[in-house]
Amino acid sequence: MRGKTIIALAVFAWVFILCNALAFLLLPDVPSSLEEARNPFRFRGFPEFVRGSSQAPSADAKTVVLLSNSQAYAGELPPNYGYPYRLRKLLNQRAVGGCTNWYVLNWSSDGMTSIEYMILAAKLRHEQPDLVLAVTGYADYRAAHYAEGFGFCRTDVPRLATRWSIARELPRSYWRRHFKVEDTLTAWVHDQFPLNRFPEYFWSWMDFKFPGAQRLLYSPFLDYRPWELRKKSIAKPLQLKTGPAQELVFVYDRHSRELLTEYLGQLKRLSSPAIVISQPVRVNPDDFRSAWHFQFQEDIRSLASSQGVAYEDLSQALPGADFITSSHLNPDNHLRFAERLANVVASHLDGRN
Amino acid sequence: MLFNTYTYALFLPIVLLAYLVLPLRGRQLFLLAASYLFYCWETPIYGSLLLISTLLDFACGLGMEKYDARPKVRKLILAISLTGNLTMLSFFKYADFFGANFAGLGRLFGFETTWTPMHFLLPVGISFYTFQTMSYAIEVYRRQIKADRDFVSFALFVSFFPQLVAGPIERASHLLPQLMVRQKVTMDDISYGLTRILFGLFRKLVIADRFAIMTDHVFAAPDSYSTFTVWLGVLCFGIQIYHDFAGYSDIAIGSARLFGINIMENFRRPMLSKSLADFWNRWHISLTSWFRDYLFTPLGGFRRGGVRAIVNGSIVLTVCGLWHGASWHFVLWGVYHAVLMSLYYIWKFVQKRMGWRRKKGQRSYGLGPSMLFTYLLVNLSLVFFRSPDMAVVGQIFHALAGLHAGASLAIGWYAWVFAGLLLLNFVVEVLQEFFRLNERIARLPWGLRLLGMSLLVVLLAAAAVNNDVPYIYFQF
Repeated sequence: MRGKTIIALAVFAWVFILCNALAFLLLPDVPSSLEEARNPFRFRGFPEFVRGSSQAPSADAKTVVLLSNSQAYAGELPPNYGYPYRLRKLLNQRAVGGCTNWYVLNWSSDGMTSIEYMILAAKLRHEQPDLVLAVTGYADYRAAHYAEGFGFCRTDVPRLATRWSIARELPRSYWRRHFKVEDTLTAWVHDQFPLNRFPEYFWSWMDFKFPGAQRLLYSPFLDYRPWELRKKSIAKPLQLKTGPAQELVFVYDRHSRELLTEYLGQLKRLSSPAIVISQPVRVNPDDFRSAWHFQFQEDIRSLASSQGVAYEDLSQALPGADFITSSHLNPDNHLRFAERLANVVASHLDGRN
Repeated sequence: MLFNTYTYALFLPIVLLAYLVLPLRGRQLFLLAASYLFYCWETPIYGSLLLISTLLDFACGLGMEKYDARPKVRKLILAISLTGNLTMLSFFKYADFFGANFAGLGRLFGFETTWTPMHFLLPVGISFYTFQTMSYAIEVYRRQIKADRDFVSFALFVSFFPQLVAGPIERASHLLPQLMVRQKVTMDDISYGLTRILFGLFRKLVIADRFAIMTDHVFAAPDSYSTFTVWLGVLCFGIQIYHDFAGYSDIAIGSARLFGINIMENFRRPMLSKSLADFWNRWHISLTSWFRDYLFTPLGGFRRGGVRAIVNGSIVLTVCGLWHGASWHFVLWGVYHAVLMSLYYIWKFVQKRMGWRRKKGQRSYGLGPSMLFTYLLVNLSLVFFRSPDMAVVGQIFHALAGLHAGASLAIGWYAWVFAGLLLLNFVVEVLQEFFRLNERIARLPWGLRLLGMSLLVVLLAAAAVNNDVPYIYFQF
């Protein structure tokens, strides 16, 4: 009986390992933020979101890591129209800091939350970029995710948090708030076994071959295609609270302030310099959400000052006419914002020099 | 805690390992603690209700035994047990339903009656464990079993985690004796248990949740699909709910078997039933047998003539509908079955009177058609079950009859994919029922079976649906 048990375990392990190896080989290799202006797989597989350490640029290069949300991801535009790409071009053109080999590593994605920002900031504790830009708005600290686990996140970032080197960099308050056994186990299992990631790619490939297969046979809420790379960029519909006109409602309250405080504290702990920037928004004073925006502005200003984190308010830096939505920019505003950011980077480096 | 989670995948082996090394008393205490942990995982406060139900019936059992010679006192104690359990169930499950309906009835007669909904969060599994504890009290009252004097083993009987949340609803006479001895766990138990768990997960994550996608589309906008698609959606729900619940029961039975404990089967291929009466012998067996033993039989069962049997059956099926949920569409689901069952028994009576019954040894050609007819009747009844309200029920039947404008939405040739999957499911069921597929698989060389199981694990990881569909029976 013991012999049979050992053989059974061996067969099971062999099949499981073989299938994981196959899945690993079949899963496409995703270019990193050094090569791409944004994650071509939208939420999935970005090396910066799933590997402990990032690829380093050449020795003469300087890097800016950009932590932001859908505004920086700019899924509605081709990658080269987004401000991160344009910022890199501007920094090189202007030879800011005497360097003409700048990289802007765009670690942004749709629907980013402070849960993910905190993990990416913890990862940055092990890396030495020349500057960290945290471009953020009130919706990144919504009350709805205050006590949620990693299952709330749409990106792969939580997988990083299951590694000891990153987990230990996250404060206790973070774990107390966001630790959910099932969510953390899921993130860990997905980090360990490529077989678990295989279905998403397989069904998106099926969808590429047979349009509709993904939504009808695999996931009714998934309508982006990791397999298809650059061709499509359709976001997963958010299952969130909506207002009277079906607009998304991200409540900003005292819990949000707590999340913001924690994030600023994490940025403060980085060995690289970090600048927190209020992202440009188009505010309609008649909109009930504007109160949250103003409260956020007040909070971030006072908290950045009290915590000693560099802060720039660019929330009203761009003309309202060139916004696609209240926070998404059209190409002209992306260019304008890149110029403003280039100035911020330059003045910061000059200040340091 | 849910069966289809990584938490359970971690919880189960830890509990099992500790169970295997502990002595009897240690096992009981440890399993009891593990069961409460399992139950209280998401909402700890629910544990108090479970404990109240346990204490109530433990005390009532002892009371009935103490006053063995005083029938009136015994009856009173039984009434206390039943009232206590039913009050708890009614308060959390039916208060708003009955309150709102009584208020409506009052208004109908000109009274100024209102009802403010309390919106209690329904404690998970309350319908299952209250029925289980009531069965214990009734069996003690009937002197079918002796009252359990050991609180730990009784509490474990009520809260045994594999079957706590969604059944099978066990009987004290079957489960309690197994919990009172140190079960020997063999390799066969482990192998059988793991196989059942894997099959259960496959049925839930790969089959039921996949059919749920189609069902959700159709029930969300029945007016917008073609008649064919709506029919398909309705049939897909039949497969979804069957594999969802039978898959859950498989995991429950498999998990219990890992501890050397046998719990009752809950399904016997109900989609191949020859008649509605046959369906109720194959579907949610632990509940239907509960109603048979503790409601239908005490009401008189078949003992008081045909008309009384039809009335008794109708009462039971209507209550069974209400058991599923505090809503009129569940009641109507029960009434639908009650009406059809009544017609079925009348037909049987006529057959008998007219001498139309098939004689012994005479060949039957009606099996296939009667199975298909029953299958359609059952699936149509599930329209009441699945619809969120009566308006959707109306829309669905309208669409099924082709009386709607329809077809503004289409799912193209995927409808045929689902039709193919339905057929495949039917073929597998037929192979299991008539060609003993399961026994044939069990006779394969163990190495081949092992390889098959390993591949099933891989298939589970690769083909499971990415759509968080809760177990349907959790809401009851």
